[in-house]
Amino acid sequence: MFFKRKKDEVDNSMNQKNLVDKELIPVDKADFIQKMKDCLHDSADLNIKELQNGFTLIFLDTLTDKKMLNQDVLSRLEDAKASPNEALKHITVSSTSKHKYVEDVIDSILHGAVVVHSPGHPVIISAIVGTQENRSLTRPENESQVLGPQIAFNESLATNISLIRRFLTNPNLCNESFTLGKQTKSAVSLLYLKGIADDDMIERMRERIKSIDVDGILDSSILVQLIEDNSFAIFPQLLLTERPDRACAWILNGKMVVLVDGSVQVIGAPQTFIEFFQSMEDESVRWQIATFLRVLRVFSMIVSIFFTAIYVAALTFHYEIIPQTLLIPLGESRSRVPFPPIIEALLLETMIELLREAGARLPTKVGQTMGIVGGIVVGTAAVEAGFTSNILIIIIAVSALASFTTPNYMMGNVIRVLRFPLIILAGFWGFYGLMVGFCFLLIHLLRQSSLGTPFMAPFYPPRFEDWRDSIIRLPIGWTNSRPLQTRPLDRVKYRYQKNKK
Amino acid sequence: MRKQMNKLLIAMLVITLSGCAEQKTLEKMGLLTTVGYDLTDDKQILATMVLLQIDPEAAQSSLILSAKSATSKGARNEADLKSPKKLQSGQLRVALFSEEVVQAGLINLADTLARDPSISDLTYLAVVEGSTNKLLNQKNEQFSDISQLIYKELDQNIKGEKIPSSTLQEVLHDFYAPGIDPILPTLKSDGGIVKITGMALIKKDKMVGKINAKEAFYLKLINDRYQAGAIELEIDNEGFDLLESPEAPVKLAVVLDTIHSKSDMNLLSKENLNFELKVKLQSRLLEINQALDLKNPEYLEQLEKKLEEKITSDIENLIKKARESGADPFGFGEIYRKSVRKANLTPEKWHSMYPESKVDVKIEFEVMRTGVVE
Repeated sequence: MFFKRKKDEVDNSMNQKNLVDKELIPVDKADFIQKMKDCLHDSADLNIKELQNGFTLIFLDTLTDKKMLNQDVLSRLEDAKASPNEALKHITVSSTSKHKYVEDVIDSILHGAVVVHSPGHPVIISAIVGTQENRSLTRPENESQVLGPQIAFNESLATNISLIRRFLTNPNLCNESFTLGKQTKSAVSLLYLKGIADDDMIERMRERIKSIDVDGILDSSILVQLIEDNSFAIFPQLLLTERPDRACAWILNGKMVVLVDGSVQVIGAPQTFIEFFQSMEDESVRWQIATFLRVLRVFSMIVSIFFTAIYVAALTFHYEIIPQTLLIPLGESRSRVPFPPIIEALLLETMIELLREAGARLPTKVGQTMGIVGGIVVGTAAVEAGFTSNILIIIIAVSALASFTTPNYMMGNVIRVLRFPLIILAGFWGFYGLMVGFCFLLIHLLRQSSLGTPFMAPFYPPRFEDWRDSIIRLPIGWTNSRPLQTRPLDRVKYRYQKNKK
Repeated sequence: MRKQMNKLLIAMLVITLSGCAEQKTLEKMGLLTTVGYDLTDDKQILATMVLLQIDPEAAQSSLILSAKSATSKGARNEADLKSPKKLQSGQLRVALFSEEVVQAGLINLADTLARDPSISDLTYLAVVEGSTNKLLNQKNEQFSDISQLIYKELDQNIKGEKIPSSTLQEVLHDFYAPGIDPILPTLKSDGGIVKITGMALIKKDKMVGKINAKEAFYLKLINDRYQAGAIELEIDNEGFDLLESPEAPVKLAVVLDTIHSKSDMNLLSKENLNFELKVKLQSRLLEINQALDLKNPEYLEQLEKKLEEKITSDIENLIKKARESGADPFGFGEIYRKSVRKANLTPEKWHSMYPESKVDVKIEFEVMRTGVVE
């Protein structure tokens, strides 16, 4: 059962309560009903059904499957003797459990269980008859690709784990469950491969998850901010994916995967900077093409961050570096612009961000109009009105385009935002300011860690063996070792030997 | 608290210090692309500057300003008074000097160019026969920007291996090196176009003579490894079995295109200052002005031998000419310095020794291909 919790540990840390303080279940029927009503504040969907033979069934209408409740619980219990053991015997639901404390009973009701009270017994039988409100499995939207499996996680934790288990039919795949959030009591699962993932790393993750004290976790992207190393960093330090194949690839590399109930994305840890520029499709295509694409992505990141800033610096301070053939067209289009280059660049960058943000929140049909208005009308009109130079339009468009090549949405956002301080530095101090900004950025990146492991690995610290699957990807036989980053217990994935025939 | 104050201080610095950087916004700068220096009668410098015009409405894409002053920078300041934009020399491509200026001494002006960090080391330097002011001011309908014309002409010929390169960096290197003298191409205004006439021989920083474009090719052959451009050579008809025809020219002219060349200079004897110059030249025969049966290996061998003699005598003449003028553009002094222990060579010492030096020229010439006609 996925909802099974490490009750003692979790509850102790969460609620600072001792076992002794827990309230026992009232033996008397009326008392029990009253207790339940009190605890759930006489909720409108709270259904209390008293059977002829003495059983009292309590459940929430909205969470339970009527058909299952009737067939497997109600009709079975009608002829039974009113005792917990008899009830257990008759209920034909796979997940049943016994509870002694009021708190646990309430908890199971909230998870879609029907609780059965037998008069005179301080024990409650609960049976899960909850509905599984599930979206069907769809294609991945954010990480879509041509090759590879076309399936994405959905909002159900059980489905997501089953997807991973389908890829990794391995008894060593461990699943640890946690409950997080004082108010939401969200289920969180930690998955890893025993015998490959490093025990210290697992323990570190376990501690981080357990020590979280929040009222609710609604999505894995929120959980990731609670468990990452540095909340002040601009770069995300852990990756999220909606692809089960990618999650499995991580687990196979000795990483851990954290799933949150109700969240379509799963967290992988630890991660490195370069991993944000890799895609699962790189594994499917030929290695030369994969290498080309990865280099292209890193190049476009650099272009996206620095291109506009270089334009501003060159035009404001360093006219010397502009090639002479470019001087005249550049000067001619600039001579009509009334603003200094920094204002011009910031204006246009903001405009692109406005377009993107407006497009992201709009329905698709309106979005198309947006593209036309933004791209064509505003773009050409701005140049013709002498608002910006047309060369800057090209530069801004290229760097905006380049920022969308990053396979990871979160990293793409960071890259777009980073442009602004760099443009300002370039506009204030030219290349000198740009270098200062670059140094800050580099130092910032080098200081980051992901679950206690260096974020810039395998480049710093240099681990040349791992370069084989970093910015480049070598043929399949060469990338048969797990990255040192995860400190895997077994370094070698497989021995590669091609069949001679 | 202290930490917060520090952060506030940094934020303040970002705002306040941004005023300290001097802005040079592109469209507010008057970009000099070519500058020419003349000497006036009262020994002042007349600087002629070609500015890049980036006004789309202007008819001409360049603007020419000239100013007179005692120094080159002073002349620029003077010219600033005539310019709507601040004059900047960061886009300077060519610096021209009139013969008078170079005869009086080039180094002050060249050094100023090198001292300015915004000026590229790859700026071409050249000598103008006559007045640079007139050369830059000449009108021609064919091109709109004289500075582009001169720059492209020099660039094309230097990259095409026709004449030795003379960038600011190379000229200054040769000036400060004790055993070699700089050379500069000479330009001449010729009916609306600008022609490269040859190279100026320079002793220390003063112009002492001129060589023509063909001799410049030999100079390039000696100084640079690997490759040189094409050359036309004339040799005597004698000894060749040619088809006699009345209108045949007296001389046999051959055009050669160098495929590969290698030159090697050695000091044979340090007492007699005897140098040896070996040039190995492999070339392709491009054109020949008379009918000669090239399929016959005998004739080809004969032709090779004749050409070898011709090149040897040409190079010997060039060396003699340079030695008589006192300039050493070949760098024999550097070979001497390299070969002789504790030579303690200075430019003065070398210039006093140089006229006594002797050079044995050995040419190995080979025609690799005679064309695809065969």
